Amino acid sequence: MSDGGFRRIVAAVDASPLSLAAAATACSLAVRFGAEIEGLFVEDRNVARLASHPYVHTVSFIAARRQAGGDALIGKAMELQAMAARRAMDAALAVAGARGGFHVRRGLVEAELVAASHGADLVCLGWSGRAEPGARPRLGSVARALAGGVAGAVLVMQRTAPGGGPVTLLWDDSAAAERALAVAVRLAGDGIVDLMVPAPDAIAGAALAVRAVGLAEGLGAQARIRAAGRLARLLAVVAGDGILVAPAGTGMPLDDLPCSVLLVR
Amino acid sequence: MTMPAVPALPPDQLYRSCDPETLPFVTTADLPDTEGPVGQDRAVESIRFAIGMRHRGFNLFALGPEGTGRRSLVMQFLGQAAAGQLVPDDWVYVNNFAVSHRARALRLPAGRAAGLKKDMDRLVEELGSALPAAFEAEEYRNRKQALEESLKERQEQEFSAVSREAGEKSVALLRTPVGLALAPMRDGEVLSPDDFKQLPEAEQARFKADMEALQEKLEATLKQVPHWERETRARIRELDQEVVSFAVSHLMEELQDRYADLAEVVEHLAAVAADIADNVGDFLGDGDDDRARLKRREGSEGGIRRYRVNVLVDNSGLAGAPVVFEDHPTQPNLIGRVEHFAHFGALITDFNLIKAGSLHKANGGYLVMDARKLLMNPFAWEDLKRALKSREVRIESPGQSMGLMSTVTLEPAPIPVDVKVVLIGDPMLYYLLSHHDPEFAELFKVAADFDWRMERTDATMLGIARSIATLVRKESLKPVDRSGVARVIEQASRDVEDSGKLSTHMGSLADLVREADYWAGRDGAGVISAAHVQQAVEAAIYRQDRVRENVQEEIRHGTVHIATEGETVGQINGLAVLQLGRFSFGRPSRITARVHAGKGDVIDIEREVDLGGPLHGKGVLILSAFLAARFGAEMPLSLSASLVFEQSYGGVDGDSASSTELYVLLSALGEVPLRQGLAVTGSVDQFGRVQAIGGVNEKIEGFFDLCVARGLDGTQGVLIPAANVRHLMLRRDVLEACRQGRFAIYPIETVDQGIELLTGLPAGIADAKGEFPAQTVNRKVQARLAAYARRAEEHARRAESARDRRGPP
Repeated sequence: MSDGGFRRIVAAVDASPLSLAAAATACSLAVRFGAEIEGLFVEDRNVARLASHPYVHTVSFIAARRQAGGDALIGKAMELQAMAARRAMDAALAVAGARGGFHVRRGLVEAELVAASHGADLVCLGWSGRAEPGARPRLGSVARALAGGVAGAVLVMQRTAPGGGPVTLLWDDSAAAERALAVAVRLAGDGIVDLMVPAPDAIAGAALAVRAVGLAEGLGAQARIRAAGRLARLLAVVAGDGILVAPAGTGMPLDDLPCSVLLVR
Repeated sequence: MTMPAVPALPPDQLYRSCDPETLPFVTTADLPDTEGPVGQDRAVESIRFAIGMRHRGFNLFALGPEGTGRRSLVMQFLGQAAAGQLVPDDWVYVNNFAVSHRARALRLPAGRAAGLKKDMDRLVEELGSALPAAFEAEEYRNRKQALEESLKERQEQEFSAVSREAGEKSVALLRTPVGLALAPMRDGEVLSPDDFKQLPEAEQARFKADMEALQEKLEATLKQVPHWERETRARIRELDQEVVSFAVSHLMEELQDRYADLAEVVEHLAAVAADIADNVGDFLGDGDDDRARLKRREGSEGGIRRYRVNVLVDNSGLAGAPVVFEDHPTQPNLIGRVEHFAHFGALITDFNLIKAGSLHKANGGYLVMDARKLLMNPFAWEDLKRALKSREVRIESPGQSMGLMSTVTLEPAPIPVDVKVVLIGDPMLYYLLSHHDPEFAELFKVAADFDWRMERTDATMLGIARSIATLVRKESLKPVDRSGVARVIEQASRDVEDSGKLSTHMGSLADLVREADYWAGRDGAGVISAAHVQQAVEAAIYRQDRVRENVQEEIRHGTVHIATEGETVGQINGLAVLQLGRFSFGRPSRITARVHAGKGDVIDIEREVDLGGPLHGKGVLILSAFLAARFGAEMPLSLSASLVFEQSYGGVDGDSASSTELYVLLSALGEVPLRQGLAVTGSVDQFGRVQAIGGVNEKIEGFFDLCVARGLDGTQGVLIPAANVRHLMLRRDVLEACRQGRFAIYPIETVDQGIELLTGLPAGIADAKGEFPAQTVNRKVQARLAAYARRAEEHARRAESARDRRGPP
């Protein structure tokens, strides 16, 4: 991945809207970088155990009471969820024309995905899973776990609508930032990368960005400073329909992501 | 041939000229405009009466032939009356916030409706920027966000508490595709069923009890969620209303001050303010989320359309009461309509799409319509009557009023109306409505009866001259000199077939002047004179008389046999009038009679083959009665006679040929030849008196044209009823021929006068024994009938003898 490309991509698909967007984006990237892709659906072992468990109580969100035969429904619902995930992955592959497959694993979701990500240089998944009705959307536990627990890059999709917006690079002058720059240059179709530079002030930010501009020129692209300053303020001006490429470990607050983010190590 | 007992009419009785020298002007340029219609005093009085009567039902029906100036007169008087009356109020429709499909009608003083509309448009416009600004303010967003966050925090706290408790009791709280699940847990994983069964029973029981308790807490928490959400929504709504109230109040207060004198408007403004507070999202609805889409109403404006004002009637431009002429009185044009527009395949409407009808526009004034057009349009007449009776206009589509519409649509509040309706129509319509519609008399109590003719006096002749002068000025025609005016006046008498009267059909006279102006222009004349009027008359005839020429040609070529010289028994020339469009002309017809012994029947062949109308049949029966009375007093009429219009293949009606048929019957009976150079018209009564008929001028001219074509020899002429002499307004060429003695018009009072003229024999007067003198027509007829009677008697006697010889059957 030192050239900024990806060879093997894993897409975590649970048929939730954001996971479907992640699958579509993953397929698109797979075509662009000539990578192989693997769609993965993990049947939560804990949830799977609930199916036909004689001592399980399920409480319906919509009826707010225990539902009869809920344990039996769980197994069926999981089957359907896996089927929907497979169909979505197949459709995304067909639309993008990508090479890849789809697998179902059973286990603890985070652990299974971390395991599946070994050997992959990019994992794509949704920012949150399925939200309860009326509940506030929150960063999913799986996304949180993968963002900090895999060796390769992680793309966390925050929007269901197709992107098309600008590619923005969070530049902190680190080695990971250099790799992120290479990825950003490959992602930017027009060869222009906007730089966001976390720094105490604009002058310090501009100084930091000089090297990025030079590196970008070396890669045949153009980097330009979009903003420099405190990280929280920078995130407020990121375009929602774009992709923010960031080196991992910058303290990026994933809970309040303004757009989809690609974490590069 | 003996001299006729009845002399031919002198030329001055054939045409009543108008002496230009008697007209007190040189050209129409010397005359002032006419002040009103000529010769319609009765109608004028009726119109004045109707205008003056403001009571219910005193609507006006102006009846008379078309072209008599009904509409212009009515509009003139209504315009004068309306100018002195108050300008009626304006009307608007606004949304009914309580029942949205029943739009409210508001009455405003004249000229203020447009202002209210403008004010409301401006209010909506200002709210469109003021409200989003208020809701985008940081303070509002922070307060709203705080409310939403507090809801979420509350939910999280409650669920976290349950989750925490579950964890403490080693119970997993898992989110599954079908809801939340509680299951026994160990080391962070759900126990499998087998593992669970391996647990001591006491622990299993504890798990079960804990899960039951947790489930109840979970259910209680989930049940609280909608309440918390509702509470939060209510608080957000209160916040919204607080913001709206401030943003709207200063705009509303200004309007409420401006319309403080109009309680209904103030009430509406208060309803608008309340509705805006409840539906502020309509002003913020640029979002693409589903909620915003749902909130947006039809049309590009969305829900804010309901704050607009639909000005139904704006009388700001009037100086008096309105006078509306509805040229196309369909039901929607009359009572108004509710329009729709298509929106995603559905037809949608609201109070903004209510359109006024002419009853709304004429409210407080006058509405004029053509009665025929009104009756021709479905539902228009019934809805007009309903409005006049209820004194309110209710806008309903035909489907609604007939109960055919079951979909939800608008039911605009009815608007009270005080309108005087004037219908213009021909007399037949008036009489039909009077006869067949019981409500008509109740609603149209005043009739303005326009006469189609007037007396020919100096005053009426001058009136026509002033009408011509007005027309000339109005349409920039050439002035008409007095010879031209005189000729127009003569034509006005000819049009009504009465030398003592003038036509009131100003439309025809105006056309004549216009056409004369054209011919004067062709001549390069600066003034229209009699020659141009005459040319216009002749040209108009020429343009229309193709059929007449064809008929004359057929007669001249002998295809249709009409004799104009010599004498023939049982054959006579009758005269008929053909009307083709607005052109009528006389056509000679050969009428023949054949007689033989019989039982006293006169057979009307036209009637037998259903070509004769009832009036013609009546005429034949009358002449039969005359024959029976004159000759059947002493002996039975033992004849059979047949009468026929030869070479007539169309229908024959009217009794104007009954005297003609009597003459030809007498000729056939008495075997007395009739002069074929004469043509006859006139009906007859049972006493043998000749009675007036219509179309006398055309009939004479029709026979005259034929005689001219064959050559006038001085013996030709026409017998007309003496009562028709005053109707004579003959063509110039007929007049000239009569003046030269080459043609003659005979005024006939009795059948005896006519038969003497036609046969050259005296008719004969019966003596005390009922016998007529020798060498008279009547004697010859009597003798023939007596011979028939004798033969009949002999025939009866022989038949009786034969029966006697045969004995009883």
